[in-house]
Amino acid sequence: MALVANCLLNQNAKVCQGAHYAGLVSPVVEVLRKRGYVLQQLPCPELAFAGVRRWWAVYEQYDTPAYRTHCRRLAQAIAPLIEGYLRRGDEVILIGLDGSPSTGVRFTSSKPEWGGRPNRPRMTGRSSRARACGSRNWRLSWRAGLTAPAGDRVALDMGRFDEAGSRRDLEQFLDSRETTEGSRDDGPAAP
Amino acid sequence: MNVDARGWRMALVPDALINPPERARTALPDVLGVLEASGYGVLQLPPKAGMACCWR
Repeated sequence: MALVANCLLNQNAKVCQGAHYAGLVSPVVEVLRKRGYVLQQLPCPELAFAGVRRWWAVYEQYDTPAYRTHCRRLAQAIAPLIEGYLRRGDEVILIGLDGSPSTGVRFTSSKPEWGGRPNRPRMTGRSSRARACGSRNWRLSWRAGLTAPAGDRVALDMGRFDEAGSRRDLEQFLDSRETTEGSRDDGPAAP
Repeated sequence: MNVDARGWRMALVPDALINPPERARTALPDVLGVLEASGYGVLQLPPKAGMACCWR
């Protein structure tokens, strides 16, 4: 099961001037389908909050009580579904979007003092646990005893988009998952 | 940012067409492939059981 950021299946959800594809982000979809993942599109917190004609923003601009409440509501709604998959023992992965203030997994755009004109902000590398708003809010809803899905990201919002590099990263992440799953299936090593 | 490739085309697609059951796979067209080739983005409708609460 691959939980994918909304805009990986629908580039119309992107901020103005942020769409790299007409519709689907085909390299991501192709890689996941080829490996047999079931796709589950996540809701886009920004689209539902600010609409399709919004400009891009940094983490701090969305870090408001109203947006946190909004993200929490979305997360709490979808968490039971994910919990069901996890309890069933499915492998669940999360494919987010590096550079996004809401769905970044490893990086989010950050500039605390910035506001006003929507110039491109600098990108700051921070762990998802600390700064990626969407991921953090998903984590708020994991029930006790469940582990949050392993996550990877496509660097669509990192300034210069490198399609081949992103695809390679995703494949490496999935390869590492397969290796882990494979070794788990082998059972404990003989003493 | 100065390019925007969005197609302004969106398709509401049932989960069963995005993730068809194994036995139906050969009978159904590759919906995602067709939509991708036509420049459509996808809004995935919830699976039959379990997610209706997310989209109120």
